[in-house]
Amino acid sequence: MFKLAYKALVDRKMRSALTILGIAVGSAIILALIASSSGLNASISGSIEKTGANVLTIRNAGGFFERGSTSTYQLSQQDVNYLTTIPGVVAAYPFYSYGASINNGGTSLQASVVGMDLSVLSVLYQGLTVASGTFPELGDTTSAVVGWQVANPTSGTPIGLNQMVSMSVSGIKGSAGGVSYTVLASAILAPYGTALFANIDDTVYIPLQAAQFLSKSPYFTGIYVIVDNTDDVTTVQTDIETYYSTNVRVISPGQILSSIQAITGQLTLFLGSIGAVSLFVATVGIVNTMYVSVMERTREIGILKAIGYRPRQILGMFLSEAALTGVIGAFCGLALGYVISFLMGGMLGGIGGGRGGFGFGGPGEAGGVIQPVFSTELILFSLVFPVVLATVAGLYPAWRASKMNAVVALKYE
Amino acid sequence: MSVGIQSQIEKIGGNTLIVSSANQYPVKTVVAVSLEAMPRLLPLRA
Repeated sequence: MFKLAYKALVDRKMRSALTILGIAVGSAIILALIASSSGLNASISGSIEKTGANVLTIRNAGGFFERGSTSTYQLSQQDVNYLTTIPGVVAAYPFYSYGASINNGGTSLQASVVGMDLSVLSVLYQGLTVASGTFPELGDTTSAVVGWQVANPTSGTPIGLNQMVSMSVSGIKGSAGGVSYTVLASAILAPYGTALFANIDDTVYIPLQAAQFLSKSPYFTGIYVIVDNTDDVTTVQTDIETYYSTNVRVISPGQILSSIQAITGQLTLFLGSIGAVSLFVATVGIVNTMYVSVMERTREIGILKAIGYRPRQILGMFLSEAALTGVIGAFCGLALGYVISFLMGGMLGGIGGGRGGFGFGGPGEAGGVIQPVFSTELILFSLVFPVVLATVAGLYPAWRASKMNAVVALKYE
Repeated sequence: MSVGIQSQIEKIGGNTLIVSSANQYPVKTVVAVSLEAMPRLLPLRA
């Protein structure tokens, strides 16, 4: 029976190939979309998890999240003092954050300048290590800790240890253009990648005091609040939000992680359903091909019936032909989907790798490439689903074939 | 797959067969099939 089905497929090479292509494309799209969006999810989750789950970030309202806010509240040392008194808070560290254009041998690199207590870096970003040099000593306001990408740009001359880094800092209140600023690179960080709202590799970390001089402002960009226990994070967040009302924005990694996971989950579902539509179209294609095939082979079916084939055997023959189309389509789709998802991963990484956004790239990557995630379930699904669909699609034409009257079929014109 | 007792397929031309059936469909008829179908059907001769 399978042999007959296989021969029938081979005899109609072009038509079979096109039907298989339809199935392959449908299943490849589903596989690629789901694998890429799972990869995106994993990548975002990974970058958020790099920021400790017990760290809350307090920012002035009207920033990244609330552009329409009219709040003019500014965070100062007073707030740092208050935040440390909240039960469950271990410490509060203020920071300044600005955009910077680093001038490096004629080329300029867009980076960030963050002013903070440099000893806190390793607390904030788990696993962050120094590639070379030592952190500036307390009171040293002329030295800086330089991110890997800043020190080793993709174009331009690398910045060595104890070399001067000159840059133009933007976003400082009261200065329309960029403010020229030069620091000494006393330490270079090892490649780390991105954490929540910060691409560590693209950042120059300067001591808090230096940032205060630079901005000439006692008001901070934000405050990191370290909570002693991850279970208390929500309580502390509520306390802060109650105290400040809408004046500040509290960002919690866990909360962002769950909301982003919800979004990417929906994205996966949405993209998967697009793939499902294309697979449905391919299924209709199989019904069509099989139906035409049955019509064309009416006389052949008549002969088979006349010489003793039972309806069940005819049904089986056509069903195995449809299933075989599905099997070949599924395997081609798996291979095609594998290739497409890597191409898509590059594309998604390009979109996500923008500076100032989440920046999903891994360590040392400029743009970042999303590694698609192929779970065993996904691979099994993309192999089994097209076969099931194809078999179901073949049911009606096969049933029609099996029900034919032999004599009528033999005389079919 | 077995062919019914006394049923026969006989090739009489490039794409023409005589089908003699002694099954539930007692027919003896000349049938023209597609050239592609011939190699699939001929091995089924009793």
